[in-house]
Amino acid sequence: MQTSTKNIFMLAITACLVFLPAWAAAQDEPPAPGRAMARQAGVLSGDWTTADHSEMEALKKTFESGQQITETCLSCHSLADDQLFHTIHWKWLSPYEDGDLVGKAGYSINNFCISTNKMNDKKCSSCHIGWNGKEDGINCLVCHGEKDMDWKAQFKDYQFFKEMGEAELVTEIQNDISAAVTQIIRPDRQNCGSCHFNGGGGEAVKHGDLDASLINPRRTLDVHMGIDGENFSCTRCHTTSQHQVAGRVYSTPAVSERKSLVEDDLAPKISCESCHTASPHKEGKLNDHTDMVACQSCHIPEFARAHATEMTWDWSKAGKLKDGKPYIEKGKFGRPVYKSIKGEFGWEKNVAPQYFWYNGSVAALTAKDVIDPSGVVRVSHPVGERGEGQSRIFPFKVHWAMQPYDKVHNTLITPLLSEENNGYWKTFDWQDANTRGMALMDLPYSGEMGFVETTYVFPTTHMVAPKENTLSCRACHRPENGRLSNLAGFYMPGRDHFALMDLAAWILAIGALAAVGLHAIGRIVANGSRKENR
Amino acid sequence: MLRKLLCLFLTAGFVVALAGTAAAFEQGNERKGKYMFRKNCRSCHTEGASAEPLNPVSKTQAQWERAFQRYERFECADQWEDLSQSDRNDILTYLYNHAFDSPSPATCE
Repeated sequence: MQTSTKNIFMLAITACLVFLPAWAAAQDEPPAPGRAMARQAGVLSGDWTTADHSEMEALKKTFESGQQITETCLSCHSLADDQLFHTIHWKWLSPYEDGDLVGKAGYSINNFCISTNKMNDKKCSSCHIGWNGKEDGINCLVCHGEKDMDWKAQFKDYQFFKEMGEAELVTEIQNDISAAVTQIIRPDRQNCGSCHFNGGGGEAVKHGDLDASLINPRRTLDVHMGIDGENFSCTRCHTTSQHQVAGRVYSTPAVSERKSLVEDDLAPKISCESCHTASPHKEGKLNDHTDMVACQSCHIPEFARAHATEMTWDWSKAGKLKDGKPYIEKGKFGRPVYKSIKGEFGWEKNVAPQYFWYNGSVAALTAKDVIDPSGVVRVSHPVGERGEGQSRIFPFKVHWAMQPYDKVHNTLITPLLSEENNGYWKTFDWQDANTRGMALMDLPYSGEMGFVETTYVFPTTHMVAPKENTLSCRACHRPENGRLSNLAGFYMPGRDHFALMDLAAWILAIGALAAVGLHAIGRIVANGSRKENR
Repeated sequence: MLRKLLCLFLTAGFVVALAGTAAAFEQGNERKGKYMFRKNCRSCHTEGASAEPLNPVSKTQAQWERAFQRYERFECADQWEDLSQSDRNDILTYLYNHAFDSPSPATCE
């Protein structure tokens, strides 16, 4: 009895010794080359710094205005303002084109709130990184402050309570200001997100792949930014040099050269290849795709996976009142489907992107361009075609709108909207809003307004899903309803077939089978007689 | 006599009706209320944050009054308790005076 127990015990130990290393070996299966390279490139740097701003004497004083804070920052960071004045974040004008044509502060338009009227619309400027539009200098804390603060209200309250002699409140507000100016960080997700997650007048309105769900995302929403994954901040990929943040697309691509860090260790980490290389997969067949299909096309199966994003905006429905007052109606995602001041909206969640050939540039109309109102006007569209060097199939959010245009000049109109400017949102008077809005742009307005259908595109590049959630081959390689069914001009296995060739192939295949069969029968039948012959 | 009585009733009726439209609370410091609202409420009650976005125009005057009379039922009742009675009254003054059905409806800046 005792020996048998011993035997079983020995057997168990042997089994463990044999199987455990095998199991461990299976666990140590090497990652895909692209993942291995990215891990190497992204050795965790941690959020380290050589300065603790709460110890700095210069910051231990009473601040009564934004400019005083900036002056103090610049007393040490003396080159920062000059660097920043050259960036698009300050200028709101494209750094790649001359003049003031392209950019929010120029003649660029979209199909959301349409235009900033050359930054005269006060509401738009709430996203500018200055204390008061471009008027009162840079607000460094928009990007470098850890604390979220309504600075305008804070200083207004400070002045008011100081004049009222409310000492207790004055101290309280000053303590808040003091805490905010000493908690200095490299830009984090909530800093960038305070504007980029709220573009177009609200959270998740503009971009389908950038919204407040990315402040603390799960890995399933974004493998790179997931707080239970790599926990990247935006600047991990949007690398920055002298306050120039890499990664702006639109009129020019985010990168002119697709380099990996192996080729150039100072290359911006902005494209997937920068860290993952151009042959990231274990399977060779998948790597054969990377010169034609952007990584995003398969690795971002849907956008707006956590929060619904706005997909349509109908300005022509704006202006309805209830009991003489503007109103808001909310839809199934808890988001507004009607606003008197803006019109009708459509929201969608888990949206499959639309796919286009894209070389990294987006062509866009300006308020000066003449349009053809008989069809859908593409306010912006991706540039690129198959066979062109950098062009790849890329996923996009396409935002549809009905927006005002000038029936005589055939141009898109830039109405003045904000309440602060006595714009349409206050007056509900299109004629007045259009006249004043176009005057601010120095553009003619005939007084005859119509509404035209427009589209505006956003490249989808955030919200990269974990590898187990990527698109399957069959999502595109299928005869009908595939993701790429709208892309013509090339042969794609599984999607395309030529009837004549198919017929020829079947005839060949069946013919070959028949020939082999007949030959075999012939051999069997002839077998006996051959023996006799010998 | 009958006429006098009718007059009296009508006057009384008017007074009661007028009292009904006036606030049932004593007006506090509206400006201070605005600050306290921003500081204490808007940190959560704003777009993209944990609670439903709130502005003075989000409710009617009557709704604001009711909310302040029975705040114990809210999830954030503890935060309400941390404020003094006069702070709460200042906040209500601000919200009430700029409510949806007030003469000067307002959203936060």
